[in-house]
Amino acid sequence: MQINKIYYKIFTIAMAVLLMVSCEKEIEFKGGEVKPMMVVNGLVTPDSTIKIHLSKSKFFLSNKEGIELIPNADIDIYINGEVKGKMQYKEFGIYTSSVQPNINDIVKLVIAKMGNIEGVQAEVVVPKQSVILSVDTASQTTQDEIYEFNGEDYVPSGKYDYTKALTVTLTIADPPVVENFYRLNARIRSLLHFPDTTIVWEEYEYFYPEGSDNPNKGPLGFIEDFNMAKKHYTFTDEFYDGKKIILKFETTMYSWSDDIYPGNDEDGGGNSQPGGPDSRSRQLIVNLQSISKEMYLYFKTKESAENVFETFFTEPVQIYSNIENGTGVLGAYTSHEIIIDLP
Amino acid sequence: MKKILYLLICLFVYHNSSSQNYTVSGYITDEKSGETQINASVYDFNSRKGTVSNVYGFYSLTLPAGEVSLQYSYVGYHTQSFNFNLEKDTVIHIRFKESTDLQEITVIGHQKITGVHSTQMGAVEVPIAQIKTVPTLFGEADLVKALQLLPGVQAGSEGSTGMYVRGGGPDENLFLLDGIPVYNVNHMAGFFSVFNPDAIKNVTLYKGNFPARFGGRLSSVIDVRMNDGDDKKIHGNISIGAISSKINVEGPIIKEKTTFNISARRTYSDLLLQPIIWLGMAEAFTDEEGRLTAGYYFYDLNAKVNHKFTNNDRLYLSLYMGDDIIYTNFRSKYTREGDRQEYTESSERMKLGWNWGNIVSSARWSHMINNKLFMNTTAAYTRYRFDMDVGMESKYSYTAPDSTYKGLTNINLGYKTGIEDYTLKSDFEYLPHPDHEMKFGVNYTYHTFKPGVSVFGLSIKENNLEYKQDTLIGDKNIFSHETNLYAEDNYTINHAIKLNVGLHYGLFNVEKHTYHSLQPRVSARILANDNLSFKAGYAAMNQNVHLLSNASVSLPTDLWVPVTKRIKPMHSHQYSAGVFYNLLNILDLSVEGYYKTMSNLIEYKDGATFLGSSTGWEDKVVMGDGWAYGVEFLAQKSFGKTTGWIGYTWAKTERLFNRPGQELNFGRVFPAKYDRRHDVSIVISHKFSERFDVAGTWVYSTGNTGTLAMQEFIVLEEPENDGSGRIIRTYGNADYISGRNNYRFNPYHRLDLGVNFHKKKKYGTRTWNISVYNAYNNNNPFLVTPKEDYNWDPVTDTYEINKKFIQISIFPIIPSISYSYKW
Repeated sequence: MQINKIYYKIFTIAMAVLLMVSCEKEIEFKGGEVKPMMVVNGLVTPDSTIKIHLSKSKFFLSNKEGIELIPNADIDIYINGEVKGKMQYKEFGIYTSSVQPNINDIVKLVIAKMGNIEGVQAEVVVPKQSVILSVDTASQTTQDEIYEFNGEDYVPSGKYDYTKALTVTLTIADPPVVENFYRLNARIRSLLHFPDTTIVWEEYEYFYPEGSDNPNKGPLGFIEDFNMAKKHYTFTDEFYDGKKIILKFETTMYSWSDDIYPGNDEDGGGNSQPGGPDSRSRQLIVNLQSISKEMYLYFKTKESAENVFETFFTEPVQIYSNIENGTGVLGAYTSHEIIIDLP
Repeated sequence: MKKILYLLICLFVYHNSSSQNYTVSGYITDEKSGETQINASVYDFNSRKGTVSNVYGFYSLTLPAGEVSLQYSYVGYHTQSFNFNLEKDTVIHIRFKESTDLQEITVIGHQKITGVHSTQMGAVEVPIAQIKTVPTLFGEADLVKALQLLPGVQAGSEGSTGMYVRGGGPDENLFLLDGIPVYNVNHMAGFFSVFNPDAIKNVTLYKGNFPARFGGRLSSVIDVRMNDGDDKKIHGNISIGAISSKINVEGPIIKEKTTFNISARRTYSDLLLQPIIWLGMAEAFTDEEGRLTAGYYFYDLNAKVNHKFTNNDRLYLSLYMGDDIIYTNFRSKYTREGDRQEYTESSERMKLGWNWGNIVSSARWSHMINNKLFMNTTAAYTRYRFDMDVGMESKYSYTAPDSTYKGLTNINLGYKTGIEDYTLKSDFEYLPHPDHEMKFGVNYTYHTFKPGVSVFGLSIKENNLEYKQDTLIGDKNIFSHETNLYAEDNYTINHAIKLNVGLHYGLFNVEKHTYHSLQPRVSARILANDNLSFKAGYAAMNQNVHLLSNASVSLPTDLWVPVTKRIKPMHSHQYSAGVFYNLLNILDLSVEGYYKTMSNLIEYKDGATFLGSSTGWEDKVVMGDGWAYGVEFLAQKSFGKTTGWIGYTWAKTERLFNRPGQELNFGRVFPAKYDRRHDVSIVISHKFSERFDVAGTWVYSTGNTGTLAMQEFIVLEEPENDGSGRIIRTYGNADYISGRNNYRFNPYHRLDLGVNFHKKKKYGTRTWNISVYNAYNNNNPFLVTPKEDYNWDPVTDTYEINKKFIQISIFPIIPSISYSYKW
């Protein structure tokens, strides 16, 4: 009997120890703290002078809040191999210069070592402009009947919700032979005309690009499914090198309801309301950027990293960088913009 | 290539110049059970020629006429010798008697197939008795986990049955059950394999120098043979373990003519957990009625019938079926009577069923055409399928004096995937001369790939309104035709030099696209003396199917897909060389080195994962190349009271995905996920007496690799406008990843112990097995991840962040006990 009691105690203690065994434990990170790197972020364009943002990377187990910026760095700008000057620190990690690049220029930045942070360099070619050959628009209004609950069932009310949509078709000329990369955005500019002033505001359109002649789902394919609606559509000419690219997208212009503003759009339509503007108008601004490959890879991979549906099984996304010894991007783009007055 | 073809033609038009040769042939079986013995040795001391029995126990040895001194031997059995004057073709059937000195438990591999004398290298034959002694998780003996202890074979994640052979992936292993492929060898997310050791007779692992008769996978072939059944008396065994119970019965249907063997296994965690679920439900539903039935189990059923028509003709019918089943049924009812003659009633029913498993069936006719030519013809069907059904019914009614409302919603979701094969094949063995053992054959398989169909049904009724929707989404089945032809010759040039030369041709037709592959195989052995040999070999392999899965864990949703026009077949070339030494007939020592290149490997793109649907899978993967090289050392003792082996592997495996548009790691080389530099395994069994034996296993390996973001940095955000048309560029934060698989986990090591107590009873022998998995409770890494703790300071009302690096382990020390009775 005594032996049985001892066995019982041993068994109980053993089971308790077993249950207390934790499957999660804090471990030491092998190799110690990873040395910080310079992080360069800059997009150069013939439309403006060169400007970059400079900061330090931060060890992922660091408890410090925020990320340190790098002031007082020694940055040389080279254009086509010639030194064109140094960049000046402004504020919040931003450096500016008076150098404005031209199309086809090779822009190179060399940043000297600072303390224990390695110096970095990066280079990019300013791409040629690609033009929007034409923009065609077509509008269409759809109506959906409103159902009302009568206490037992939902029944048709005889009132409607209205949506006026605009279909935009763009034609772009793609230069042949060379690999081209693009970024497209569209904005709706609203202008409220008062007797003594005009108020202007712009809103980016989130659109679902639907290339009628575009079989390209993008190099990152399905990942885009998670983020179909975008302010920017970034794409390559992989499937239509040297041809005309036709892109189609749809945007909602107005929506109104018989319930809210009968006969008008939600902002009052073209009719003046008391205290409202004398008139209003809208413009569609389509901006096509020819971008460098570096900028394309950077934005594509960053977009994927942000949108990836992270699970235990997912392979994390590496964000592209063309900064030697550091990270970030030095990209370049050339824009072509078209403004269309909307009806 | 022309030279190889010429060599093959020369070998196959070989002319037997001797007219004074006669053939000794027959079957080799176990005396007690009649079970055929695979790889038993037949050797003539006078001519110094020999052979081994094939997988059906058949042997054939052609010798010069005159005096012969034949010896038949098989490890663990009494050797039988015959001296006679060979003057005509002779048939000798051997029934081996088990030796009491060399117990079956002591066998690891047979020298004749894998040791000093054979041309075969990179192969290990593992007797099932050995597998049963290896202590394992929950005491559940497992074939795949025993194979993982061999050099050159890496286990995947902790506790899983994933196999990574010489730098290959888990889908590059061909598991054959009685010669027929098994597509999903995993139960319970890969913690157990589908092979019930009670039903298995023999296992051979080929990890290099593949004989030409095998094809279809790049990295390994695991040839599993099921027991035929005792032809004299009915007997069996039953065992009750921590998570499952098993029964095996075998015996004659017609004595010495027709036998059967049936094994069944079922886990019972669902039965044990159900009362606990109900107790929990009773707590949760105090004022409502609810009932939950839920559980998970798997079962396996192996059956084999073997009929001997004559000594020359036998028929085998084999069946394996196994399923994993998850089920949930939930019912709840709620009623309430209000103060103002209101009455509310609602009820919900939910049903969830997941069901996945294999069926592998075959009918085989073995026919001895003459004493030099043996034929085996098989018709087979194999299938893996995964079905998921979710059903929900919700009823609601509200009655009051002034209004009534009634609602009924039904939702049904279903998802089905799988693969199905019909196979017809004929294999021949031709033994025209003791110097030539030829094998050739042809097989045809009709594959049906079922990439996944989802069914969605919705019906809503609300008073007089009714809404119904039935949707069927999915990809069409893909059909493919696969034909393979092969020929090989094991050619003894002289006593010292032996060659194995073969060619495997494969044709794969899918969606109007045909792929051809010619895969030469060559291996050579030079015997320095009876105990020392040097070997070298080359093998090309081709693979036409890919498994879409998550690299870390095996899930039932893992899906086989064929190659396509865009995704090409995988191809590998493996070169190997080794030294084999037998030390005093006690210890077999071998050192093998290999170098393997692999092309058209697939990997998921950054951010991609397989969520059970094959739709658009080609867009989720990229193709690239890989290579692996390493050295494997094995020392094994197969005889005596103490047996076991020590294996050590030094290996490296890398990947390069740099094809335009298909770059991974920005086109730079990166280590494969299971690239491990060092791998050690020590497996020891010691038999103290007939009543008591112990076994222990210790494994150590370099940690796996993983992708870890070790820094944080500022990134450009998309331009914003400030509302007046002015663009403001803003900045955000992101994780910096220096490269794919850039971090190596802590090393993995574990000790497992097992002890068996046997006792003879009136009708048989009972055995108690006590085993401990991870005996010193090492926290082995399964996953590493950063974690943030927030400490609130009540004085400043602020939170302080404390970042930690966390390692997650899944199996602590796990003791288990099982009971078995063999009669």
